[in-house]
Amino acid sequence: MQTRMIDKQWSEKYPGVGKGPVATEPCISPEYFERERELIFRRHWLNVGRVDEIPTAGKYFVRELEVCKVSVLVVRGNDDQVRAFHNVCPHRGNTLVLNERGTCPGRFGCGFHSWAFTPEGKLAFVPDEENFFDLDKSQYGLSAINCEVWEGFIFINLAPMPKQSLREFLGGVATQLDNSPFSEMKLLKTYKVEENANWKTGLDAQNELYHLPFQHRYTIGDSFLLKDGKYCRFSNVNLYNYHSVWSCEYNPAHKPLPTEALLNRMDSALTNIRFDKRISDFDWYLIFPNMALLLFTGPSGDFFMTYNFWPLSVDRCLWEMRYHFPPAENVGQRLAQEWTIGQLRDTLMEDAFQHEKIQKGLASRACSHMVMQDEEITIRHFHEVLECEMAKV
Amino acid sequence: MSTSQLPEAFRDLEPYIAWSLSSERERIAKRIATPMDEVIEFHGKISARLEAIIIYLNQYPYSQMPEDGQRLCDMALSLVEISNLVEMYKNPAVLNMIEPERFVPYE
Ligand code: FES
Ligand SMILES: [Fe+2]
Repeated sequence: MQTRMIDKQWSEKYPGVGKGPVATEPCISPEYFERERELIFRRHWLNVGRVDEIPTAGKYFVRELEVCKVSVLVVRGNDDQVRAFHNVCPHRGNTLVLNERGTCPGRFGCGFHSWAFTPEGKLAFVPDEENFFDLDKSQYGLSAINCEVWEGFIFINLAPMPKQSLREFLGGVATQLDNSPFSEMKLLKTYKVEENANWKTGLDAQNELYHLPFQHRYTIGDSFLLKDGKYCRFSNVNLYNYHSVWSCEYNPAHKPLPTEALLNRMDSALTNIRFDKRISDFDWYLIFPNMALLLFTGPSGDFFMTYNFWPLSVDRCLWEMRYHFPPAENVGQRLAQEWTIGQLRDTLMEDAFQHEKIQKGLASRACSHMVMQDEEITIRHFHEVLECEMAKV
Repeated sequence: MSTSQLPEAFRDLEPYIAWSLSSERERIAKRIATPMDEVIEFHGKISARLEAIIIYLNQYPYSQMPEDGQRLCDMALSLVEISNLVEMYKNPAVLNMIEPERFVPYE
Protein backbone atom coordinates (compact mmCIF):
# COMPACT_ATOMS: atom_id res chain seq x y z
CA MET A 1 0.00 0.00 0.00
CA GLN A 2 1.39 3.32 -1.04
CA THR A 3 0.03 6.40 0.67
CA ARG A 4 -1.10 8.98 -1.84
CA MET A 5 -0.21 12.33 -0.39
CA ILE A 6 -3.03 14.13 -2.12
CA ASP A 7 -5.68 16.39 -0.73
CA LYS A 8 -9.41 15.74 -0.47
CA GLN A 9 -9.17 12.17 -1.76
CA TRP A 10 -11.60 10.63 0.76
CA SER A 11 -14.50 12.91 0.03
CA GLU A 12 -13.91 12.03 -3.60
CA LYS A 13 -14.09 8.32 -2.72
CA TYR A 14 -17.20 8.90 -0.58
CA PRO A 15 -19.04 11.86 -2.10
CA GLY A 16 -22.15 11.02 -0.06
CA VAL A 17 -20.50 12.19 3.16
CA GLY A 18 -21.09 15.87 3.95
CA LYS A 19 -18.49 18.60 3.99
CA GLY A 20 -20.37 21.12 6.10
CA PRO A 21 -20.20 21.92 9.81
CA VAL A 22 -20.86 19.26 12.47
CA ALA A 23 -22.97 20.34 15.46
CA THR A 24 -21.36 20.36 18.92
CA GLU A 25 -24.72 20.04 20.69
CA PRO A 26 -24.68 16.20 20.76
CA CYS A 27 -21.51 16.33 22.89
CA ILE A 28 -22.91 18.71 25.49
CA SER A 29 -26.68 18.43 25.58
CA PRO A 30 -28.11 16.54 28.62
CA GLU A 31 -31.32 16.02 26.67
CA TYR A 32 -29.45 14.45 23.74
CA PHE A 33 -27.61 12.22 26.19
CA GLU A 34 -30.90 10.96 27.67
CA ARG A 35 -32.07 9.98 24.19
CA GLU A 36 -28.75 8.25 23.43
CA ARG A 37 -29.35 5.91 26.37
CA GLU A 38 -32.43 4.53 24.65
CA LEU A 39 -31.77 4.97 20.95
CA ILE A 40 -28.08 4.07 20.83
CA PHE A 41 -27.06 2.01 23.83
CA ARG A 42 -30.24 0.00 24.31
CA ARG A 43 -30.57 -0.82 20.61
CA HIS A 44 -27.15 -1.69 19.24
CA TRP A 45 -24.65 -4.46 19.72
CA LEU A 46 -22.09 -3.44 22.33
CA ASN A 47 -18.71 -5.08 22.82
CA VAL A 48 -18.21 -6.03 26.47
CA GLY A 49 -15.05 -8.12 26.31
CA ARG A 50 -13.33 -11.12 24.78
CA VAL A 51 -13.75 -14.84 25.28
CA ASP A 52 -10.19 -15.20 26.57
CA GLU A 53 -11.29 -13.35 29.73
CA ILE A 54 -13.47 -16.40 30.49
CA PRO A 55 -11.50 -19.29 28.97
CA THR A 56 -13.09 -22.18 30.89
CA ALA A 57 -16.53 -23.31 32.12
CA GLY A 58 -17.85 -21.28 35.05
CA LYS A 59 -15.59 -18.27 34.48
CA TYR A 60 -17.46 -15.00 34.47
CA PHE A 61 -17.07 -11.23 34.46
CA VAL A 62 -19.49 -8.43 35.30
CA ARG A 63 -19.74 -5.16 33.37
CA GLU A 64 -21.63 -2.20 34.76
CA LEU A 65 -23.30 -0.43 31.83
CA GLU A 66 -24.13 2.71 33.71
CA VAL A 67 -25.51 4.33 30.58
CA CYS A 68 -28.35 1.79 30.59
CA LYS A 69 -28.32 1.33 34.36
CA VAL A 70 -27.71 -2.35 33.72
CA SER A 71 -25.27 -4.75 35.33
CA VAL A 72 -24.32 -7.51 32.88
CA LEU A 73 -23.08 -10.94 33.97
CA VAL A 74 -21.16 -12.69 31.18
CA VAL A 75 -20.45 -16.35 31.93
CA ARG A 76 -19.21 -19.46 30.16
CA GLY A 77 -21.55 -22.36 30.89
CA ASN A 78 -20.62 -25.99 31.45
CA ASP A 79 -21.68 -26.54 27.83
CA ASP A 80 -18.90 -24.06 26.85
CA GLN A 81 -21.46 -21.48 25.63
CA VAL A 82 -20.88 -17.83 26.46
CA ARG A 83 -24.07 -16.19 27.75
CA ALA A 84 -25.05 -12.82 29.17
CA PHE A 85 -27.62 -12.21 31.89
CA HIS A 86 -28.94 -9.35 33.90
CA ASN A 87 -26.93 -9.57 37.08
CA VAL A 88 -30.15 -9.55 39.06
CA CYS A 89 -31.82 -12.20 41.16
CA PRO A 90 -35.36 -12.86 39.89
CA HIS A 91 -36.70 -13.50 43.40
CA ARG A 92 -36.80 -9.90 44.60
CA GLY A 93 -34.29 -8.10 42.48
CA ASN A 94 -31.10 -8.25 44.52
CA THR A 95 -27.79 -7.81 42.67
CA LEU A 96 -26.59 -11.38 42.23
CA VAL A 97 -22.80 -11.36 41.70
CA LEU A 98 -20.77 -8.77 43.57
CA ASN A 99 -17.29 -9.59 42.23
CA GLU A 100 -16.03 -8.05 39.01
CA ARG A 101 -14.74 -11.41 37.78
CA GLY A 102 -14.21 -14.94 39.00
CA THR A 103 -15.21 -18.57 38.70
CA CYS A 104 -18.68 -19.73 39.60
CA PRO A 105 -18.37 -22.32 42.40
CA GLY A 106 -21.00 -24.60 40.84
CA ARG A 107 -23.86 -22.18 41.53
CA PHE A 108 -24.29 -18.43 41.72
CA GLY A 109 -25.87 -17.90 45.12
CA CYS A 110 -27.90 -14.80 45.89
CA GLY A 111 -26.82 -13.03 49.07
CA PHE A 112 -30.40 -12.20 50.11
CA HIS A 113 -32.29 -15.54 50.38
CA SER A 114 -29.77 -17.93 48.78
CA TRP A 115 -31.58 -18.73 45.57
CA ALA A 116 -28.98 -20.56 43.49
CA PHE A 117 -28.41 -20.43 39.72
CA THR A 118 -26.37 -22.57 37.36
CA PRO A 119 -23.71 -20.99 35.10
CA GLU A 120 -26.26 -21.55 32.30
CA GLY A 121 -28.70 -19.27 34.14
CA LYS A 122 -31.20 -21.86 35.40
CA LEU A 123 -32.71 -21.59 38.85
CA ALA A 124 -31.38 -24.69 40.61
CA PHE A 125 -32.38 -24.31 44.23
CA VAL A 126 -34.83 -22.32 46.35
CA PRO A 127 -34.57 -22.55 50.14
CA ASP A 128 -37.91 -23.43 51.77
CA GLU A 129 -39.41 -23.97 48.34
CA GLU A 130 -42.51 -25.76 49.72
CA ASN A 131 -43.69 -22.54 51.31
CA PHE A 132 -44.11 -20.78 47.93
CA PHE A 133 -47.36 -20.85 45.96
CA ASP A 134 -46.99 -23.12 42.91
CA LEU A 135 -43.51 -21.84 42.18
CA ASP A 136 -42.43 -23.00 38.71
CA LYS A 137 -38.64 -22.86 38.97
CA SER A 138 -38.22 -23.07 35.19
CA GLN A 139 -39.81 -19.61 34.97
CA TYR A 140 -37.31 -17.98 37.30
CA GLY A 141 -33.96 -18.44 35.66
CA LEU A 142 -31.71 -15.41 35.20
CA SER A 143 -33.02 -12.89 32.71
CA ALA A 144 -31.05 -13.42 29.50
CA ILE A 145 -29.48 -10.63 27.46
CA ASN A 146 -28.83 -11.20 23.75
CA CYS A 147 -25.22 -12.23 23.44
CA GLU A 148 -23.25 -13.11 20.32
CA VAL A 149 -19.58 -13.70 19.69
CA TRP A 150 -17.59 -12.75 16.60
CA GLU A 151 -13.93 -13.78 16.36
CA GLY A 152 -13.80 -14.01 20.16
CA PHE A 153 -15.28 -10.54 20.73
CA ILE A 154 -18.33 -10.76 22.99
CA PHE A 155 -21.19 -8.39 22.16
CA ILE A 156 -24.48 -7.91 23.96
CA ASN A 157 -27.67 -6.23 22.79
CA LEU A 158 -30.25 -4.93 25.27
CA ALA A 159 -33.05 -4.68 22.70
CA PRO A 160 -35.74 -7.31 23.41
CA MET A 161 -35.53 -8.34 19.72
CA PRO A 162 -32.37 -7.04 18.00
CA LYS A 163 -33.21 -6.02 14.46
CA GLN A 164 -30.03 -7.59 13.11
CA SER A 165 -27.71 -10.40 14.09
CA LEU A 166 -24.26 -9.33 15.26
CA ARG A 167 -22.84 -10.61 11.99
CA GLU A 168 -25.25 -8.51 9.93
CA PHE A 169 -24.54 -5.49 12.08
CA LEU A 170 -20.77 -5.83 11.69
CA GLY A 171 -21.20 -6.18 7.92
CA GLY A 172 -18.06 -5.17 6.01
CA VAL A 173 -15.90 -5.15 9.15
CA ALA A 174 -16.63 -8.84 9.70
CA THR A 175 -15.97 -9.63 6.05
CA GLN A 176 -12.68 -7.77 6.23
CA LEU A 177 -11.45 -9.46 9.44
CA ASP A 178 -13.04 -12.93 9.51
CA ASN A 179 -10.57 -15.68 10.47
CA SER A 180 -7.94 -13.26 11.74
CA PRO A 181 -5.63 -14.66 14.44
CA PHE A 182 -7.17 -12.64 17.32
CA SER A 183 -7.36 -15.70 19.55
CA GLU A 184 -3.62 -16.32 19.27
CA MET A 185 -3.03 -13.08 21.13
CA LYS A 186 -3.68 -12.65 24.82
CA LEU A 187 -4.85 -9.74 26.92
CA LEU A 188 -1.63 -8.37 28.42
CA LYS A 189 -2.64 -5.00 29.79
CA THR A 190 -5.72 -2.91 30.45
CA TYR A 191 -5.87 0.78 31.27
CA LYS A 192 -8.97 2.55 32.50
CA VAL A 193 -9.47 6.24 32.90
CA GLU A 194 -12.57 8.09 33.99
CA GLU A 195 -12.67 11.25 31.92
CA ASN A 196 -14.58 14.47 32.33
CA ALA A 197 -15.67 14.29 28.72
CA ASN A 198 -18.63 13.15 26.67
CA TRP A 199 -17.99 9.66 25.28
CA LYS A 200 -18.00 11.02 21.71
CA THR A 201 -15.52 13.77 22.53
CA GLY A 202 -13.01 11.07 23.44
CA LEU A 203 -13.90 8.79 20.57
CA ASP A 204 -13.77 11.58 17.97
CA ALA A 205 -10.37 12.72 19.18
CA GLN A 206 -9.04 9.19 18.64
CA ASN A 207 -10.68 8.85 15.25
CA GLU A 208 -8.13 10.84 13.22
CA LEU A 209 -4.41 11.47 12.75
CA TYR A 210 -4.57 15.14 11.87
CA HIS A 211 -3.60 15.98 15.46
CA LEU A 212 -0.74 13.52 15.65
CA PRO A 213 2.27 15.65 14.65
CA PHE A 214 1.01 18.47 16.85
CA GLN A 215 -0.54 17.17 20.04
CA HIS A 216 1.86 14.21 20.14
CA ARG A 217 5.00 16.05 19.09
CA TYR A 218 6.76 14.91 22.29
CA THR A 219 5.78 11.24 21.96
CA ILE A 220 4.92 9.62 18.61
CA GLY A 221 4.88 12.66 16.33
CA ASP A 222 7.21 11.10 13.73
CA SER A 223 5.86 7.54 13.80
CA PHE A 224 3.62 7.79 10.77
CA LEU A 225 4.15 8.88 7.22
CA LEU A 226 3.64 12.61 6.78
CA LYS A 227 2.93 14.74 3.74
CA ASP A 228 5.91 17.05 3.20
CA GLY A 229 7.16 15.76 6.56
CA LYS A 230 4.38 17.72 8.20
CA TYR A 231 0.85 16.41 7.82
CA CYS A 232 -0.69 12.97 8.23
CA ARG A 233 -2.41 11.27 5.34
CA PHE A 234 -4.33 8.01 5.58
CA SER A 235 -3.29 5.29 3.16
CA ASN A 236 -6.88 4.08 2.98
CA VAL A 237 -10.38 4.80 4.27
CA ASN A 238 -13.35 2.44 4.12
CA LEU A 239 -16.79 3.49 5.27
CA TYR A 240 -19.31 0.78 6.09
CA ASN A 241 -23.00 1.03 7.01
CA TYR A 242 -22.33 1.81 10.65
CA HIS A 243 -18.59 1.46 10.98
CA SER A 244 -15.41 2.72 9.39
CA VAL A 245 -11.70 2.03 9.13
CA TRP A 246 -8.76 4.26 8.36
CA SER A 247 -5.23 3.04 7.85
CA CYS A 248 -1.78 4.51 7.69
CA GLU A 249 1.80 3.57 7.06
CA TYR A 250 4.67 3.85 9.48
CA ASN A 251 7.26 6.48 8.73
CA PRO A 252 10.39 4.74 7.39
CA ALA A 253 12.39 7.81 8.44
CA HIS A 254 11.34 7.40 12.08
CA LYS A 255 14.49 7.51 14.24
CA PRO A 256 14.23 4.87 16.97
CA LEU A 257 15.27 5.93 20.46
CA PRO A 258 18.28 4.09 21.94
CA THR A 259 16.27 1.66 24.12
CA GLU A 260 13.69 1.15 21.37
CA ALA A 261 16.42 0.32 18.84
CA LEU A 262 18.13 -2.10 21.19
CA LEU A 263 14.89 -3.87 22.10
CA ASN A 264 13.89 -4.22 18.46
CA ARG A 265 17.30 -5.67 17.64
CA MET A 266 17.16 -8.08 20.59
CA ASP A 267 13.60 -9.25 20.08
CA SER A 268 14.39 -12.81 19.06
CA ALA A 269 10.95 -14.34 19.43
CA LEU A 270 10.15 -17.04 16.94
CA THR A 271 6.42 -16.44 16.95
CA ASN A 272 5.48 -14.25 14.11
CA ILE A 273 1.71 -13.96 14.16
CA ARG A 274 0.44 -11.67 11.43
CA PHE A 275 -2.94 -10.26 10.52
CA ASP A 276 -3.09 -11.30 6.86
CA LYS A 277 -6.02 -8.98 6.36
CA ARG A 278 -4.36 -5.86 7.64
CA ILE A 279 -4.91 -3.03 5.20
CA SER A 280 -1.80 -1.08 6.11
CA ASP A 281 0.77 -0.90 8.96
CA PHE A 282 -1.89 0.44 11.31
CA ASP A 283 -5.65 0.02 10.89
CA TRP A 284 -8.12 1.84 13.13
CA TYR A 285 -11.67 0.45 13.03
CA LEU A 286 -14.58 2.23 14.61
CA ILE A 287 -17.25 -0.30 15.53
CA PHE A 288 -20.41 1.67 16.15
CA PRO A 289 -21.23 3.02 18.58
CA ASN A 290 -18.43 3.05 21.15
CA MET A 291 -15.69 0.58 20.25
CA ALA A 292 -12.44 0.93 18.36
CA LEU A 293 -10.34 -2.00 17.17
CA LEU A 294 -6.73 -1.18 16.37
CA LEU A 295 -4.48 -3.55 14.41
CA PHE A 296 -0.77 -2.84 14.54
CA THR A 297 2.12 -4.40 12.77
CA GLY A 298 4.98 -4.89 15.21
CA PRO A 299 8.67 -5.74 14.76
CA SER A 300 8.13 -9.34 15.88
CA GLY A 301 4.52 -10.09 15.15
CA ASP A 302 1.36 -8.06 15.08
CA PHE A 303 -0.79 -7.03 18.00
CA PHE A 304 -4.15 -5.41 18.56
CA MET A 305 -5.90 -3.07 20.94
CA THR A 306 -9.49 -2.26 21.75
CA TYR A 307 -11.01 0.92 23.11
CA ASN A 308 -14.44 1.06 24.70
CA PHE A 309 -15.85 4.46 25.58
CA TRP A 310 -18.62 3.98 28.17
CA PRO A 311 -20.84 6.98 28.82
CA LEU A 312 -21.36 7.80 32.49
CA SER A 313 -23.18 11.10 32.04
CA VAL A 314 -23.30 13.80 29.40
CA ASP A 315 -19.83 15.02 30.36
CA ARG A 316 -18.22 11.93 31.87
CA CYS A 317 -17.10 8.64 30.39
CA LEU A 318 -15.01 5.61 31.19
CA TRP A 319 -12.35 4.90 28.57
CA GLU A 320 -11.08 1.31 28.61
CA MET A 321 -7.98 0.37 26.62
CA ARG A 322 -6.90 -3.25 26.20
CA TYR A 323 -3.66 -4.52 24.66
CA HIS A 324 -3.48 -8.03 23.21
CA PHE A 325 -0.11 -9.52 22.24
CA PRO A 326 1.20 -12.94 21.31
CA PRO A 327 2.25 -14.55 24.63
CA ALA A 328 5.90 -13.62 25.27
CA GLU A 329 8.36 -16.45 24.63
CA ASN A 330 11.28 -14.81 26.34
CA VAL A 331 12.33 -11.69 28.21
CA GLY A 332 13.57 -9.94 25.07
CA GLN A 333 10.12 -10.15 23.55
CA ARG A 334 8.38 -9.18 26.78
CA LEU A 335 10.53 -6.05 27.18
CA ALA A 336 9.90 -5.05 23.57
CA GLN A 337 6.15 -5.43 24.17
CA GLU A 338 6.35 -3.37 27.35
CA TRP A 339 8.23 -0.61 25.53
CA THR A 340 5.52 -0.49 22.86
CA ILE A 341 2.76 -0.47 25.48
CA GLY A 342 4.46 2.32 27.43
CA GLN A 343 5.07 4.48 24.39
CA LEU A 344 1.42 4.22 23.40
CA ARG A 345 0.29 4.67 26.99
CA ASP A 346 2.03 8.02 27.29
CA THR A 347 0.41 9.09 24.04
CA LEU A 348 -3.00 8.01 25.33
CA MET A 349 -2.37 9.96 28.53
CA GLU A 350 -1.82 13.02 26.36
CA ASP A 351 -5.09 12.19 24.63
CA ALA A 352 -7.01 11.83 27.91
CA PHE A 353 -5.73 15.25 28.99
CA GLN A 354 -6.86 16.70 25.68
CA HIS A 355 -10.32 15.09 25.78
CA GLU A 356 -11.14 17.00 28.96
CA LYS A 357 -9.86 20.28 27.56
CA ILE A 358 -11.99 19.80 24.44
CA GLN A 359 -15.07 19.03 26.52
CA LYS A 360 -14.53 22.15 28.58
CA GLY A 361 -14.28 24.22 25.41
CA LEU A 362 -17.36 22.65 23.84
CA ALA A 363 -19.40 23.03 27.02
CA SER A 364 -18.75 26.76 27.03
CA ARG A 365 -20.84 26.94 23.85
CA ALA A 366 -18.25 29.25 22.30
CA CYS A 367 -18.68 27.27 19.07
CA SER A 368 -21.95 25.86 17.82
CA HIS A 369 -20.26 23.54 15.35
CA MET A 370 -16.96 21.93 14.38
CA VAL A 371 -15.23 22.32 11.01
CA MET A 372 -13.62 19.19 9.59
CA GLN A 373 -11.16 18.49 6.81
CA ASP A 374 -10.78 15.47 4.56
CA GLU A 375 -8.67 13.46 7.03
CA GLU A 376 -11.49 13.80 9.56
CA ILE A 377 -14.00 12.05 7.28
CA THR A 378 -14.51 9.05 9.57
CA ILE A 379 -15.58 11.38 12.41
CA ARG A 380 -18.09 12.96 10.08
CA HIS A 381 -19.32 9.56 9.01
CA PHE A 382 -19.74 8.51 12.65
CA HIS A 383 -21.79 11.63 13.44
CA GLU A 384 -23.95 11.05 10.36
CA VAL A 385 -24.63 7.45 11.42
CA LEU A 386 -25.39 8.64 14.95
CA GLU A 387 -27.82 11.30 13.73
CA CYS A 388 -29.52 8.75 11.54
CA GLU A 389 -29.95 6.28 14.43
CA MET A 390 -31.16 9.06 16.74
CA ALA A 391 -33.86 9.98 14.22
CA LYS A 392 -35.31 6.45 14.30
CA VAL A 393 -38.09 6.20 16.82
CA MET B 1 27.86 -16.13 51.67
CA SER B 2 26.54 -13.31 49.57
CA THR B 3 23.12 -11.77 50.08
CA SER B 4 22.83 -10.68 46.48
CA GLN B 5 19.34 -10.80 45.07
CA LEU B 6 20.47 -10.74 41.45
CA PRO B 7 22.15 -13.40 39.31
CA GLU B 8 25.91 -13.64 39.83
CA ALA B 9 26.87 -11.81 36.64
CA PHE B 10 24.72 -8.79 37.51
CA ARG B 11 25.80 -8.12 41.09
CA ASP B 12 27.06 -4.70 40.06
CA LEU B 13 23.40 -3.67 39.63
CA GLU B 14 22.61 -4.46 43.26
CA PRO B 15 22.58 -0.76 44.27
CA TYR B 16 19.53 -0.34 42.02
CA ILE B 17 17.52 -3.22 43.49
CA ALA B 18 14.81 -0.77 44.62
CA TRP B 19 13.88 -0.52 40.92
CA SER B 20 13.08 -4.22 40.80
CA LEU B 21 9.31 -3.87 40.99
CA SER B 22 6.89 -6.48 39.75
CA SER B 23 3.92 -4.32 38.76
CA GLU B 24 3.53 -1.37 36.44
CA ARG B 25 1.72 0.56 39.19
CA GLU B 26 4.79 0.26 41.43
CA ARG B 27 7.16 1.17 38.60
CA ILE B 28 5.16 4.30 37.78
CA ALA B 29 5.08 5.30 41.46
CA LYS B 30 8.84 4.83 41.71
CA ARG B 31 9.40 6.86 38.55
CA ILE B 32 7.33 9.73 39.89
CA ALA B 33 8.93 9.63 43.34
CA THR B 34 12.53 9.61 42.05
CA PRO B 35 14.42 12.84 41.30
CA MET B 36 15.35 13.17 37.62
CA ASP B 37 19.14 12.97 38.22
CA GLU B 38 18.70 9.60 39.94
CA VAL B 39 16.49 8.42 37.08
CA ILE B 40 19.23 9.41 34.63
CA GLU B 41 21.85 7.55 36.66
CA PHE B 42 19.71 4.39 36.77
CA HIS B 43 19.06 4.68 33.05
CA GLY B 44 22.78 4.99 32.28
CA LYS B 45 23.77 1.99 34.39
CA ILE B 46 21.04 -0.41 33.30
CA SER B 47 20.86 0.48 29.65
CA ALA B 48 24.59 -0.21 29.38
CA ARG B 49 23.83 -3.76 30.58
CA LEU B 50 20.49 -4.25 28.83
CA GLU B 51 21.83 -6.36 25.99
CA ALA B 52 23.65 -8.64 28.44
CA ILE B 53 20.52 -8.86 30.61
CA ILE B 54 18.40 -9.97 27.68
CA ILE B 55 20.95 -12.52 26.46
CA TYR B 56 21.22 -13.92 29.99
CA LEU B 57 17.47 -14.05 30.67
CA ASN B 58 16.56 -15.40 27.24
CA GLN B 59 18.04 -18.74 28.28
CA TYR B 60 14.84 -19.24 30.32
CA PRO B 61 11.39 -19.73 28.89
CA TYR B 62 9.46 -16.62 29.92
CA SER B 63 7.12 -18.50 32.24
CA GLN B 64 9.91 -20.40 34.05
CA MET B 65 12.17 -17.68 35.35
CA PRO B 66 14.17 -18.32 38.55
CA GLU B 67 13.61 -15.79 41.33
CA ASP B 68 16.85 -13.87 40.89
CA GLY B 69 16.24 -13.74 37.13
CA GLN B 70 12.74 -12.43 37.71
CA ARG B 71 14.13 -9.62 39.88
CA LEU B 72 16.56 -8.73 37.10
CA CYS B 73 13.71 -8.81 34.59
CA ASP B 74 11.60 -6.52 36.80
CA MET B 75 14.53 -4.12 36.96
CA ALA B 76 14.75 -4.13 33.15
CA LEU B 77 11.01 -3.41 33.04
CA SER B 78 11.71 -0.32 35.16
CA LEU B 79 14.28 0.77 32.60
CA VAL B 80 11.62 0.43 29.92
CA GLU B 81 9.30 2.50 32.12
CA ILE B 82 11.74 5.42 32.39
CA SER B 83 13.63 5.18 29.09
CA ASN B 84 11.46 7.69 27.26
CA LEU B 85 11.78 10.26 30.04
CA VAL B 86 15.51 10.27 29.61
CA GLU B 87 15.80 9.66 25.88
CA MET B 88 12.94 11.79 24.61
CA TYR B 89 10.88 13.83 27.04
CA LYS B 90 13.90 15.01 29.08
CA ASN B 91 11.37 15.50 31.78
CA PRO B 92 9.82 13.37 34.56
CA ALA B 93 6.66 13.09 32.45
CA VAL B 94 5.27 14.15 29.12
CA LEU B 95 3.94 17.68 29.17
CA ASN B 96 0.18 17.94 29.10
CA MET B 97 -0.77 14.45 30.09
CA ILE B 98 -3.54 13.42 32.44
CA GLU B 99 -2.56 12.88 36.10
CA PRO B 100 -0.93 9.41 36.22
CA GLU B 101 -2.99 8.30 39.24
CA ARG B 102 -6.16 8.64 37.14
CA PHE B 103 -4.83 6.42 34.35
CA VAL B 104 -4.94 3.04 36.01
CA PRO B 105 -3.13 -0.07 34.73
CA TYR B 106 -4.46 -3.61 35.25
CA GLU B 107 -2.13 -6.50 34.43
S1 FES C 1 -33.54 -11.62 46.18
FE1 FES C 1 -32.23 -13.20 45.61
S2 FES C 1 -32.85 -14.82 46.83
FE2 FES C 1 -34.20 -13.27 47.39
FE1 LIG D 1 -4.07 11.22 20.01
